[in-house]
Amino acid sequence: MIYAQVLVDGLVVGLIFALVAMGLSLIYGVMNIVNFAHGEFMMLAMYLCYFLWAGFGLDPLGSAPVAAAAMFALGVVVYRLVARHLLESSMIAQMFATFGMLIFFQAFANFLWKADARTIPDNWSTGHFAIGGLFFNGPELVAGLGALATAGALFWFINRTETGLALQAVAEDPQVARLLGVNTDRMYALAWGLSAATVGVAGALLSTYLAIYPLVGANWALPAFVAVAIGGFGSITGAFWGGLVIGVVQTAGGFLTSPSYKLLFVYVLYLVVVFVRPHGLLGKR
Amino acid sequence: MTRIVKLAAAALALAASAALAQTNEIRIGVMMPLSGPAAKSGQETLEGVKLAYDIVNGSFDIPLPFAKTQGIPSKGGAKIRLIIEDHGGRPERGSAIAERMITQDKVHILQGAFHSAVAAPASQVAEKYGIPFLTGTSESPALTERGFKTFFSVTPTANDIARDFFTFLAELSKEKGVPLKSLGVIHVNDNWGSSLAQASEQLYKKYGFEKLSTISYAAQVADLRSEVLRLKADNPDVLLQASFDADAILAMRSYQALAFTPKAILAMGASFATPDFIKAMGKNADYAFSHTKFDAALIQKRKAAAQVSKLFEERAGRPIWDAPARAFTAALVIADALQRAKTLAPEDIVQALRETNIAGADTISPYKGVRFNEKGQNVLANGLITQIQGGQHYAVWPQDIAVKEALFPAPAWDKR
Repeated sequence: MIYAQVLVDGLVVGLIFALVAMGLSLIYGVMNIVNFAHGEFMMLAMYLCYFLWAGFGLDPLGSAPVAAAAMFALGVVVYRLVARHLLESSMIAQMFATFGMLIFFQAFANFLWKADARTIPDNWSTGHFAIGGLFFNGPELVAGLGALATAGALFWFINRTETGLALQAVAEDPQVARLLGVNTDRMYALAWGLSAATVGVAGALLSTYLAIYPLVGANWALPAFVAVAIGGFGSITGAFWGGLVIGVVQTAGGFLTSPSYKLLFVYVLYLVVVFVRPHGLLGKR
Repeated sequence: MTRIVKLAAAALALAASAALAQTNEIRIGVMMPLSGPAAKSGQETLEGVKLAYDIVNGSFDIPLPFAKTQGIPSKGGAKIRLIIEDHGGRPERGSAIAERMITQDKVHILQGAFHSAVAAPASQVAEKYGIPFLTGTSESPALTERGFKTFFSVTPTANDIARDFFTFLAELSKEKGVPLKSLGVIHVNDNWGSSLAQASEQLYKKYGFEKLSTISYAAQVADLRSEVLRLKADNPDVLLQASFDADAILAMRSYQALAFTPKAILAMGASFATPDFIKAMGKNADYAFSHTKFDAALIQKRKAAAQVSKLFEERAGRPIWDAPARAFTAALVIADALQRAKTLAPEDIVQALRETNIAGADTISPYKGVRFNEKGQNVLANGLITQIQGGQHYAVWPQDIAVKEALFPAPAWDKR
């Protein structure tokens, strides 16, 4: 029974890794830029939910659409102010710029809100239950399912709407897309907005049970990078599966051996993928 | 022309040395985690340090040494100036900060660092330069085990804390007639956290435990599922814990989520003692034990504690607690040594520290006193154990400080 619990817990945490990873992969797929500040968008969304709860009594799950919209706007602003200027830059410049944003946002949060571990004590998903010997934590289950739903919505948008297809066209070949009348600048802005919005939803979902503090985003962004690498850079589907695989591998690996090694399994898997399939499980060569 | 330049240079040098003599200040380098996972605790610990030196520098009507006088009397009333740096909990920054404080800021003594993992490399640099380094908060016994000449630790170490835990558990088990056979230890994987595991490893059999399971994790962690699943599979009677702020909340919520209920959970360090923890866990914070070196119960036992706590509250927004109180006491140990030191030369300050003999009643801490052994460890350091009952901490051990009886064993999560 405990093995079933391990699997379920791995899947639940994996779904959240997956959602965070998908946003990361989106920007990379469309713009070839790795956004190191990705986790910080999530952290800002968590603070937003916290203050909406503290100020207006809004349930963090109710705040999820607000967080998505606010992060979308922030993503677009970051694109306009920073990322746009990096399109033609070297990879080093891109890394420094997004890494700089990571430091900026963390310091910004530390300065404004101090390092307190803030928490939202109760919301409607709070509670525990057991089904057939399996234990479920309400907020975590809702977060996992919410991540799944958001991932589904993102898939649908990208594969089934005209704008989504245009986004894919830009990812494929921006010059051709431009020739066909796609406004690439708007598509880039959209990619940043969507990426930030998905991670904003992840932040809202996690704020129901995680402590909120300036470094919280970084804890989730690092596994997300690995998920993206395992799934294949730029592949949103790959990032989704990569996130799930990481969740299960670290939980099961840690449980079966010693939890101290749980990240070891993740990085060994990463190395195997890099050696055997450098473009990732679903990435394009 | 060259002569004029030379003359001017000589005059400048003279003026500078005169100025140095006149400024008459004692520089103390303080390193704390003002960012990073323990930032909140670090910032408040720094407030404890600042408060202590403000009391030394100014004139206060508090029954503490150096409160009424201004500055260090034997050094012509020299004022203390603090040079403060943030190390963010990163060991590599500790040595760089110590190097800079010693060579550029010319500090007379170093104090810090909260994290044992940072105090270790930083004090190594201090040892190299012969500058004293004193910690009031870093609990790893490995620090004083190195036998450095210039390193001093006022705080109880993890060994003392583990001994307090085991003594308390043995008494509790006997009193309530509940046998305790298996022990779990969960800790962050740094010096400080590992030291609890090592101390438990040495002690558990001696105190009648048959089985020990140890889990370590990285403080910056997204989830603790596999850790807690492992614990649940081992299902120890008692859990000892060494965590920081956010990860302590995450761990406790994960225990609850997986219905993992040890008969007692005991934490060392600030984690369960922070108000954030009680706020986050609500009624589920109840039954948790903390080893601490300050508690409101001490306000009746230590004559200066009430006033110090009030002054601290004016600055930090809440009464003084464990880490700031220990750092406060450590700062007064430094002031005491500076007063007795023949000169401000490093070797004289070290010698004065070595001869320290302060009674517990002259501090705000539960220690029996402050006296260092040849390795620089305070041999009179001990702590107390509190339990959260109804959302409040109450001292439950040792008997002479306890204000409430310990609630034990803890009921299942859904029976609370």
